[in-house]
Formats: sequence, C-alpha cells, structure tokens
Amino acid sequence: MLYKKKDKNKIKTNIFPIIALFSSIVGFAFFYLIPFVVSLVYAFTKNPIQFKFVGFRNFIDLFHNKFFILGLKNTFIFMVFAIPISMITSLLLSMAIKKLGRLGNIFTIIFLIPLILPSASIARFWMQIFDNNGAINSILKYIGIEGPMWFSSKYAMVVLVIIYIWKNIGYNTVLFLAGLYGIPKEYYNCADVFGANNRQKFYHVTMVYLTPSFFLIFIMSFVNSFKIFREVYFIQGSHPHESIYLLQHFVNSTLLSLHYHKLVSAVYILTIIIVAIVIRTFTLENYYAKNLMD
Amino acid sequence: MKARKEVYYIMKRKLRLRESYLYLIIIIMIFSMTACKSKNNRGEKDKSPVEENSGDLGAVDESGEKGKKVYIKPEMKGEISINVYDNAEWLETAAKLFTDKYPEMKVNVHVFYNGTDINISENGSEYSGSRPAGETREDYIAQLNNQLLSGNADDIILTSTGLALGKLIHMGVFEDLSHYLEGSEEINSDHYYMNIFDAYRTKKGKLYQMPLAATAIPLITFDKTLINETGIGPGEEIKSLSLREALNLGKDIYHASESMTIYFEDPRSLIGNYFTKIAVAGIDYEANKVVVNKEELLELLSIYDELKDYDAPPMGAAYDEVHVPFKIPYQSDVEIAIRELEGEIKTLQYKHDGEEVYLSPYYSVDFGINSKSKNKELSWEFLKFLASEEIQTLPSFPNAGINKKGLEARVRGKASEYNQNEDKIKQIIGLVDGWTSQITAYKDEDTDIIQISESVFNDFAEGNLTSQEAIDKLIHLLEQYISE
Amino acid sequence: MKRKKIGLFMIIFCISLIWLIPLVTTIVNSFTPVISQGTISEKGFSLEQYKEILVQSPIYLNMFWNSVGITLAVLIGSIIVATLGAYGFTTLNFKGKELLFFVYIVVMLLPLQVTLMPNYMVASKLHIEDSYWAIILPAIFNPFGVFVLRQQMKSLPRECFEAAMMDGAGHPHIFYYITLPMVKSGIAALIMLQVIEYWNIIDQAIIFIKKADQYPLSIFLARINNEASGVSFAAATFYIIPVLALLSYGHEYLKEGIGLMNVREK
Repeated sequence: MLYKKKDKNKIKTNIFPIIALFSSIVGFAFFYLIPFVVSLVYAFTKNPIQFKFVGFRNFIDLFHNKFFILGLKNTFIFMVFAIPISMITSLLLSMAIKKLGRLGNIFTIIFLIPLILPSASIARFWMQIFDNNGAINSILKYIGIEGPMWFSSKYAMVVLVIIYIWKNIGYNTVLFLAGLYGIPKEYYNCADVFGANNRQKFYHVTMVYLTPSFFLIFIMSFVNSFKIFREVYFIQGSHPHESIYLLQHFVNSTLLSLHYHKLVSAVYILTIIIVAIVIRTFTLENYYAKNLMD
Repeated sequence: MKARKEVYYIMKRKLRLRESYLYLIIIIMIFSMTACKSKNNRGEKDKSPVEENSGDLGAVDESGEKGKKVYIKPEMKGEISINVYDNAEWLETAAKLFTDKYPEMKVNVHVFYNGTDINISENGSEYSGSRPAGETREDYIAQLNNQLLSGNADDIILTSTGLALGKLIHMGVFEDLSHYLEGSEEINSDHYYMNIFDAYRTKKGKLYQMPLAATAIPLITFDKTLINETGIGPGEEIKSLSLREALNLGKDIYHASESMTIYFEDPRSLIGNYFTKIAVAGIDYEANKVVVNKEELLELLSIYDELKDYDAPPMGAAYDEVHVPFKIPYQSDVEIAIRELEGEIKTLQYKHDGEEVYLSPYYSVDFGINSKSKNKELSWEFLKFLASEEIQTLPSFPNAGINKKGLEARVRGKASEYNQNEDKIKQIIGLVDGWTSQITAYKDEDTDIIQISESVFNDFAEGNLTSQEAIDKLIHLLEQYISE
Repeated sequence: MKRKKIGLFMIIFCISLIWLIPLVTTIVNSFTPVISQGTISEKGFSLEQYKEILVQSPIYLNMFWNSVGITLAVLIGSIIVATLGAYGFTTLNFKGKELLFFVYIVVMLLPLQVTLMPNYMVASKLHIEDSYWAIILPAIFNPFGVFVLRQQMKSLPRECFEAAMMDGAGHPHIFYYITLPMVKSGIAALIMLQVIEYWNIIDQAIIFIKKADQYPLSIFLARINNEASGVSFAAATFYIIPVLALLSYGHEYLKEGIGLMNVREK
C-alpha cells in the first residue's frame, strides 16, 4: 500500500475509503448477494409452493433435461463466436474513432443507437432484413440464389451473432474509448523518446494499459450476451428454432411457469461455470498486468 | 517527485469541481426521492412476508393428503383480496354487495389490466387504462408469479385467464376446495348444477377451482334442411356424437345431397379442437412426461387431409343458399337453442372417449383460492356468494351457469334480445338446462398447451408440415413445455 | 494525413449506415400521417402525431417524466455509490479484497431474471414493492458501476496519490480533487451506459409498477410492435431524442479524460 504505519493509524487515515467501500458493500449485500444466496434454498426443494426438501434431485433432473443442455450448448456456441468478434471489431472501431478526433465524435453516438431503440423496433428492423422475403433474400434471389429461412434453420445462429455484434459494438466502443482516453499521453511520449513505431506503441503501450478495459469489456460482453434474448424473443417467441434455443429461453420459461426450483438450480450451475471463466480471465488479467507493467 | 507534487497542486487549482454542482445534485436527489414516494399504501396492509407464510406451507400438504378437514363457517370479519386480469363490472358490484351484507368485511379487487387501451378523454386531462395495449398476458403472469413466490399473492385468483393452470395446480398453488364444498349445505343439486362441480374435479377427486359460469359447448349442429333433403342424419334418440361419427355422417350427407352449394365450412377448427384435447391429455405432470397418443393424432390428421376435398366453398353461391352439413358453432347456447327451436338445425352434444361432454373454455369463469392465503374460509364465503342467486342473476354477470336461477335469468335476458315470447323462452330454458346438466367433463385450460397445439396445427393446415412432422413437433414442444 | 483521415471517415460512415437506418425510419415514420393501419405507403408530412403525444394526451408526457424520474434517481445514486465503492476498492488493501470483488463480478454476470425474484422478496420485506423504490434501490447498488470505475482507477499512476499523501492531504481530498477528475472519462462512460440501461427498463417495471400513471415510457414502447401507428413512432422518436442528446453531451466528457500531460502543459 501507499504507506506503512501502525494498524491503528491505518484505520484512522483510511476511515474515508472504508466508509466508502462499506456504503457499496452494504447495498450490494442487501439487494443482491444475500437474496441470491438465500434463494439457494429453492434449489433443494420440490417446488416453491411445496417446501419439501428433495436433496440434489433438481440438479440431477437438470442434467437429464434435454432443453437445459440444449440451451447451455447453444449459449456456449453463441458466446464463443459473438464475444471475441464483437470485442475485436469494437477495439478497431474505437481506435479509428480516436484517430479521427473531432470527426469521430458522431460515430460513437451512431453506434450507440441500437441500445436506445426500443427492442420492438430492433426486432422489426432485423425481421425486415432476414425475413423469408426480406432484404437479404431479395438480393440473393436477384443474383439467383435461393435464400435460406434465416430464422428457422441452422443459420439462425449466424443471424443472432450478427444482431449481437450490431447491438453491442457501441457499448464496447464507449468502454474502450474510456480506456483509451484514460491512458496518460505521457506514456506515448515516453515511447516516442525510445523511438517506438506505431506497432510497438500499440503492443507496448495501448494494449498494456487497456488490459483492465479488456477484462471489463469481456465481462460486459458476457452480461450483454444474456440480454440478446429480448430481441430473439420478439422475433421468435418462446419456441425458437432448435439452434437458437438459449439458456435464457429456459430461464425465462421456468420463471413464467413458476418452476423456480429449476430456475435456481440452473442458475447455480451457470454460476459455477461463470466462476470458472472469471477466475481464468482474472488470472490472465493479473498475469498480463504484472508482466507488461515491468 | 517534485514534478508530481507540482502536478497535484495545479490539478487542485484547475479541477475544483464547483461546489454548487454538488448542492444541486443533492437537491435533485431529495426532490426525486419525495416525488417517487409511493402513494400506494398497500404494502402496509398485508404484513405477511415470506417467513410467516412458510409456516403454514406444511398445512397445505396435510389438508391435501388427509382430506378430513371439516369446513366451519367463519366469523364474517376481515379482509380478502381478489386478483383478476381485467376489469369486471360484475365483480366490483359483487364486492360491494358482499360488503353491504357483511359490513365488517373488506374486499379488495386488484385488476391488472383495465381498459383495452389508453383512453383519452375529450378535455385531455384524464385518462384511464392501466396498461398500454399489446402483449400483456406474460406481464400479468410475471407479476402474479412474483407475488406467489414471495407469498403475498391475493387470496382469490381468477383462473380462467391464460394461466399455465396444469403446472400451477400440480405445484400446489391452489387450495383443494372439496371439503369446503362438502361443508356448504346450501350448494346442493336443487339450486346448482352439481355436475359442473364434479366436472372440475381432478382424477383424484380434488377441486381446485370454483366454477361460476359454464356454457355447454362445443355442441355439434346438423343442418336440418340437408337432413330433410337427404334423409340422412343422426337419429332422434342420439344425444351425442364423437368426431369420427359426426364426420362420417357429414360425408354421407354431402354425397347424398343434390344441392350444389354444400360444403364443410371449416374442418380446421373442428379438428384443431380435437388436436388440442389430445395434446392436453398427453401431459403427465406426475411423471413429468409426454405421453401423446400418436396413432390417434395420425388418424386425426389423415381425416383432415380427407376433408380437404370437401371444404371448397361453392363459386358464386349466395350466402343464404350455402349449406353446411354440420359444424361446431361458436355462438351462445341461447342462440343455438333458438335456431334449434326454429327447425334450422339439430343439435347434439360432443362426445369424447365414449361419453364425456366438454365444457368450452371460451365461456368459463372460475376462481381458485391461493393455498398460502390466510383467509381461506372468508374467501370461500365470498366465492359462494358469487355463485349465489343474488350475484348470478345480475345482468352484468357473464354466462351464468352454475346456479340454476342464474342460468334461467341469463337465458331470459339473452332470449329477450331475440323477441321470444314466454312460451318459447320456457322451451329455450328447457333445452339449455338439458345441455348444462349433461356436462360431465371440463377441458383443461392450460393456455400454453393450447397455444402450442394451435400453432403446430396451423403449420400443418397451411401445408408447412407433414402429419408426421407435425406430431413430432408437437411432442417436441410439449416436451419443452414440461421440462421448462 | 488529412486525406487518410477523410478516407477512414468515409469507410466508417458507410458501415455506420446500418446503425442509422432504424433510427431514420423511425423518425421518418413519425412524421408520416396514418391513413390506415399497416399501410404507410402514402407519403405525406404531418405533425398530428406529435400534437397527439405532446398536447392532446398527457399520458405520454407523464410516462416520459416517469422515465426521467427513474433514470435520474438511479443515475445520481449509482454514480455516488460506484465512485465511492471503486475508490474503496482501489485504495484499501485487505485480505479477501480480490475475493470480494470477484463476488461482485459473478453476481453482476447473472441474468436479470435471476436477480429479479430476490429483489422482489427484499422489496416486499421493505414494503416498497409497489413503488419506484423497488426499482431504484437495487439499481443504485448494482455492482456494474463499481466494476467499471475500479478498472479505470487501476491504471491511474500511483505517484499522484503518493504526492498528495506526502502533502498531508486526506482521503476525501484525494478522492474529490484527484481521483474523480482523473477517471472522468470512466464516469462519463458509466453515465452513458447507465442512462441507456435504465431508460430502457422493462422487466423490473413490469413486475413492480402496478399503476397506470406510474409506467415509464419504455414499457409502452416495448408493447407496440404490432400496431406500428404514427403515434407510436412519434412516441419512439420522442423517447430516443433526449437520450441521443444526452449521449452526445456525455461523449464530450468521455473524451476529456484528464491525463497527466494535459495538466502539465497548462
């Protein structure tokens, strides 16, 4: 830490950050953590109305649940494609915007448009494009290719990834820009002194100081990939084509049918997976942060 | 280090955020807090958070398993709440009459959706309408589910508005009402159609819903003109027909008739109805399995294909010349009775599995009592009041049916719209009474399953799916439904 | 160099058209009078729809102000909590700090449907389930803000804090005069993203708000996809424009994050 004094003094000088942190922790615990932990009870009961203890029955059932597995699988496939692609494109975009300076201002706003449009409008827009008689298929027909039924075939996943990238590129760009502008110019000047070229600057300055941002954006992409459900739901309802049956469909439907015990067990399984992924990225972040700071 | 220090000082000077901003923020925050303060004090009223309720959860099970509870009429003092999807005038009236009768009672009717849309009054200063138009069923269910989960749902819940009823009943959301019914002597076969209560019972004899209105359709109606012309038709002694029998008769009439304007009006709705019934019957909540009778479905869909040859409306035929051998009319039972008496049609009841006659889901009103409710007895008293003559004879009450006097009043009201004389009205009452007292089975009203089977059936009917694909899809979707 | 810039500009501009189209169609449709539902083929221009939503029926404006109220309250509360929390996480060093932060992240990652139900339970315990508080309070303590700002504060140079410390400045001082200005771009980003998030609030509002006059505009707009009438397009435009304006304003701050050099030059 910044200073090494005796413990008592430490608390005294640190009273402000302690209170600051506490204000956040108390609310977080009260509104998120404790309720979430308490809800674990449901995972071991027959159902939320009949509070009978059933042990690990719900978890075992879930692994035999065709649709939970299907949702898990599809969500995984979706994330593997959508997250990296959207991160790379938005990094490139944010760097271009930064380079453009004043001219680039307008683009940040334009790319944020999907986030402020009502979901229904977004769904309508994409339906016009990927409908069986939509824009894409019309173009394909003009060339002489019979277009597929985008939403109800195996191509549905491609459409989903495209919509995701389209929707979230602005979000990621804002965060990347915040990261880019947060890098003190001093560091670039320093690199100039050492005669670094653009590429070296990118790898040794930009990438290094963007590491926390990368981590942040990865996590946010993860969060946002759950939100894509809203658009899918507008387009396909609760019975989408098999290839885009996401975990969110499962979660949403279990909630609507009051099968909270299934929902909570599913979520705890999901949490375990998330924890594994976050630990992995956490260590990666720390590794890079330390490695590159030197 | 010196340079850094300098930086710090410069920053301190340059970047002083104006204090006034801070004050502004605080003022705005306080303002928004007071503005947001809810005027609604409902929260104060029912101080029954989760824990208190979890206490009597065990009791729910016991009452279900032992079934020995005896209902004793409670002291009429307290407060009950009712959850309904949309605005019902008769319910408000009934609540008022109830509180007039028992001054120490309070009845709160919680309406989720009142008004079809945002209504703008002329002076522009007032508006009614609780929720904008559009998809609201899911919002309703989401809200209701959260109330049920946290244990502060209303005492009485309207069950005939699109709930996933099968799942809810299986989970124990609703109280078994059979011992309440047994303990209420005033509900007897002199004044009530007890067969409808029985029709609502589950296979194990439990009653989770209090039926209030009931209309005995689907009925199958045969065109009398065609029967007279061809001499083919159901015999006088036959009261009910199964789908297969009706179709065969219809085909015979079609072929025997010389009329050029005969066709099957809409075999789709007929078979779609049946398709849904098989889908609903195919779900086994206990075993968490889908056991749809595939042969039955295949046969049904092949009938549909067969009927395609019959469903072309004649070209250029005048509307009143067209004859339809038979159909399931979606009209009120009074209208059907009038047409029957005028000799236009012959009406039969719909038969399934040999003997059962189904109630239409379109005209039923029923309530369940929340199993976590603390005022079950009072709630039952209120439901009983709703079934009583006093309420059932209200002009605004929809499709009265459970109470014999109520049914009569409804038939009279409707018949008078058609300028029927007293004699005719008596005959109509006789017919409707006969149909109603024959009801022996209630169609499970799980909206999700109905939607699933209808969407699959429409896909099939439009030719997007073959019959085998349709059945596979149905099973797939039902499996999805049950595993979610 | 300049030509290169313009070329880059043109390329991005062409790509960005795909983002612009839905907005443009919404705005254009909002000025097109409705002849009959579903057929907006006849071209024309009218302000009737705007007159309808702004003057004739107060419900739209009412819903709009509800949206503003919710967003503003969430925004102010969450920014305060997030800056404080992030500052605590950055400056304090204690056992289990990383673990705690880790828990923040994991909870943040959970889908909305999962946290909604616990939120409802807490709200019903506090007897606020029928008011805006049920939406605002959990939103204020959403771990997202803390997360964003902590990541931002991580890359701040330590020397600056040390200098201040040596100077005898206390934590409140450092927080207010050094940390906050330095993470300005992060705060701007956070504000922009929070506004977007809570301006579009749907799920929570559906569950918690039961009275017609308390709905935010977002619920209305989420429900009108089937009846694409001119009024709904006008309402959508009316709904989008303030946020767009706010975003472009916030964007200026996003850029002006204060680096060390900026200061020294002055």
